[in-house]
Formats: sequence, C-alpha cells, structure tokens
Amino acid sequence: MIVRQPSLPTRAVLRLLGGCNEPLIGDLLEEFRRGRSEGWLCGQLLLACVNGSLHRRQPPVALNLTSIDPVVAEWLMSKRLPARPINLSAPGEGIGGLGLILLGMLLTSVVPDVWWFVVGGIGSGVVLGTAKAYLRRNHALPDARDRYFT
Amino acid sequence: MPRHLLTDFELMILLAVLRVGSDAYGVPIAEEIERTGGRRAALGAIYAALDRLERNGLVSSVLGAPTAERGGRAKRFFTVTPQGLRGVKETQRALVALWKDVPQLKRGRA
Repeated sequence: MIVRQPSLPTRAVLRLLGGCNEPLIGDLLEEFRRGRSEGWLCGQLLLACVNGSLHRRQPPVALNLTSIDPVVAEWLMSKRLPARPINLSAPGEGIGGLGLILLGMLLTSVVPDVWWFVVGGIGSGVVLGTAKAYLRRNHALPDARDRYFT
Repeated sequence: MPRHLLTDFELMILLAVLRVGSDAYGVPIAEEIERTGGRRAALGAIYAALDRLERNGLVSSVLGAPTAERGGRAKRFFTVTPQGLRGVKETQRALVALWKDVPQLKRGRA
C-alpha cells in the first residue's frame, strides 16, 4: 500500500515543527492521506501557526516496554523530568539583572547622588528573582496524576 | 462558582465531542461539526478552542498510541467533564429562554 506523502518542502516544514502539538499535525496528515490537497494541508498549518495552536508542547508518550499501563508509565516519566533551570540573572523577560546593575553603575559614575537608585534596583532585583524562584519551584509540572486519577 | 456561558464555537465543539463519544479526537470532531453544523472549522481553531476548554476544566484529554498512518504521531482523545456538561446545559437553558417568544422567529412571520 502506497502511503501518500506531502512534497519535500512541506515535509521539511513538518520536520521543523516536530514537537509542536503532535496530535494536531497527526490529524492534518491523516486528513491529507485521506485525500485532502497539499494546498489544504499548507493552509491549515499556516492557520495553526497564526492562531497559536502549534505552540502546545505535549509530554512524551511513554514506550510500553513493560507490563505497566502506558498511562501510569507516562506519569512516572513525567515525575522524573528535571525541573526547569531558573535564571536568577534575568528576573524579567528581556531584562537582564546584570545589565541593570551595569546601567546603574554607569548612572552613578555620571550622577553620584543616585547611588540609592542602584542599591534599590539591586535589592528589588534580588527580591523579584527570589519570588520567581519560589513560585516556579512550587508550580507543578504538567501533572498527569490530575488527569488520570481522581 | 461563576456560571460559564459558552460561545457558539465552544458549544458546537462540546456537543460534537459528546456526539462522537469515546473516539473523539480532532478529525472526527471536525467532521461532526461540519456534518451537523454545516460549518467547516480549521483543525487548528478546534485545537485552540479545546485547549481553552481544557484550561477551564470543561474537557479533559489523554494521549493515545502513535500510528504509522499519522507519521508516528499520537491522537489526543477528548472527553467532556461533568463541569463541561453543566456548562452545556446552562447555555442550552439560557439560549432556549432567549429564543422563546421572539416575534420575528414565530411561525408565519417573515
């Protein structure tokens, strides 16, 4: 049985999108193989990019290498994933803590009287970074338990 | 608990998930909406709405096994939660009440 394949450029795009909402891409491929046109497939991919539905990342599906139920295996694997590293030098998006300190030092070299501004900035950065670290550590990973167990 | 009235698209998706039953993933949900609602919805839009519904606790999803037909990608099966079912019933009640006795919709009128 010959499986209908999209053209090379479309396949390249699908490879690039690997890891982005695999079920959606799988559905689009399934429809394509049932007879939808390549233009339809590309249009759907573009629409999915625009409305952000490709951004979801799925947890890996556990390989059923043992007699453990795949659902339980997936939960066990999710609990073994390492926590995300927390970047304390960048408390805000696009704003580097070290960059702020450098800016403060430049400022005080020009206007020495604003030393309080630099000290205040460093202090608030430390507080903000600590708060973010605390919140992230307490924020659960995608918790498979809540889906599968009541 | 605040009442959650659904948008028309969310309502169609929840009803399609209920109608499809246990095998409800993207493709049959889209087909059901097209077949019964006469509306062709993009799969991406359906997934975006389902993600939103899942965040609000109105649906839940599980990943199935990957298949070769889908390039080794798993299906994501959706089910309506009890909260989702309550939302559907509340929306139905609200819409039926709104539709009732609308003069322009009464029989014999243009």
